[in-house]
Amino acid sequence: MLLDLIRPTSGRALVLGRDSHRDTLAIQALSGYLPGELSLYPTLTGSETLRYLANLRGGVEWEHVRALSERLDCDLTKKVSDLSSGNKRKLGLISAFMARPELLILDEPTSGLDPLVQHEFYALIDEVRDAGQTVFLSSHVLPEVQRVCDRVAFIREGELIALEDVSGLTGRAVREIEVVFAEAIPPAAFAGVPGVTQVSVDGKNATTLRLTVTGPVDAAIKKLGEFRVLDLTSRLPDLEDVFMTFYTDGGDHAA
Amino acid sequence: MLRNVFCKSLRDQTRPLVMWVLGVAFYVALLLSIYPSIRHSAGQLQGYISSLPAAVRAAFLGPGGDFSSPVGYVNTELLSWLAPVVFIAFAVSIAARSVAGEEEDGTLSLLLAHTVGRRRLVLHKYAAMIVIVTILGLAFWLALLVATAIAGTPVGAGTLAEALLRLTLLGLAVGSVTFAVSGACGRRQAGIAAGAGVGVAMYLLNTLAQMNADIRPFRFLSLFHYSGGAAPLGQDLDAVGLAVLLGVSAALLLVTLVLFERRDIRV
Repeated sequence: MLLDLIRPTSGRALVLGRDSHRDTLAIQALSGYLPGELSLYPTLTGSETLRYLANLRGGVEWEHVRALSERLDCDLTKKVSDLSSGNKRKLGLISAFMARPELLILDEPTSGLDPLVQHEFYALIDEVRDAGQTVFLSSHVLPEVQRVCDRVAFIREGELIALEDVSGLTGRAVREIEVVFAEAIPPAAFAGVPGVTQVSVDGKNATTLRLTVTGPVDAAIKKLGEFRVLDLTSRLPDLEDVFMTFYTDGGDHAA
Repeated sequence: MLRNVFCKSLRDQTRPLVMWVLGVAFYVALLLSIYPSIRHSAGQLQGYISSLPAAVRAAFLGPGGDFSSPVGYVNTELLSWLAPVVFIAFAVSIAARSVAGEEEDGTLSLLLAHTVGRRRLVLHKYAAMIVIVTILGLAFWLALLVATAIAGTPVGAGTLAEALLRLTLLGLAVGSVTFAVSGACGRRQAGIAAGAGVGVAMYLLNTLAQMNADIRPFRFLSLFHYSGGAAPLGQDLDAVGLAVLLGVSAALLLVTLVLFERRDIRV
């Protein structure tokens, strides 16, 4: 919608101070876009693809394209149809970055990228941020969001339901902890611990405890210290869970 | 060839264009190579044709049904129905691939995000279609020119050019139907169905109008009526016919521009 590919049912959007519908071309000239589902021309090579897109856009320094492709370790001589999805993604990233746009709109930029390239990509994001460029990044991977973003917006069914600093967000993260004890454990022991929102016990002889903890896990961990712990697994909180807390918290506030 | 959308579209259509041109050249050569033997028995053939019911003659041979002269032969065997079908089918397939093709392949949003602009995209795609269909027209013209000369039955270059100009414009007009429909809804199939449907309906209308006096007044609704009907070769170019074909194409291009400008792009 910001690039005027789809139209709002009502209202309007301002991008970099310009109306998204009336000044579409100006906005597009100032932004780089990586679609979530990237489609390229299978018969072109990587460098042909980028040349075409650069020609359409104009004002792209080919040296910059070459530098980007080297940093992301992208082979430009192969045909797109012979590339893996990660390598296609790299072409998409280069096309988004190549014009040094003021605004980058990246949809799931790291899906399919290997860890080394991911790392390089994060470095690239840091650089453009330091250069004053804005990055809109959509992602389902919380560590990625934590790593690169300053602020996070939650969108549910087309509605913006929350806009938060990342630091505030992780404080509210929900995490599931599974603990196996040496002996049976009374679930009531964890009922009043700060942050613990759900407790359940199962496994043989009731030795396995499942805790759902919101926010800091400090109190729950200290409480665990009172028992003999054999094993402990903590599942990484994902955005879905954080999203759920936002949702329920919102309800609470409203009430 | 990667300078802009127009050049890229030409490049994309090179392979189908070459295939069609080869097909046309082959068929024309085949047809003209057997003409001498047909002309030999033209008298008999003509007698047989005259004995057919008028309706059958009109439906399958056009009003000509004439094998005795090169012009009649080319009209009957090639230009009355096969050539229009070739031009329409080619233009429709190119038109469907233009905007809707890029959209269904998912590359349209990429182009538009690289500052192409919707109006420019439509105009470039349309211009590419014009050039490609015109090249087929030129190839067809050249093939006929060479083949009739070799077969020893030359038809004037100008006469041939007039017929193929008509057919090219007919193809572009029906192709524009496909261009507009597929551009407006983003689906190749819808555009092909619309173009093919319009093409068949108009062909039937024009043919039936020759046989049935009740339908005759509605002949003006068929684009075939303006492209020379069943005998494009040897008729004088009439300004009204050309204007109608060009006008229909231009109007459909305008419709595409308006509808494409208004809708959501599938991302």
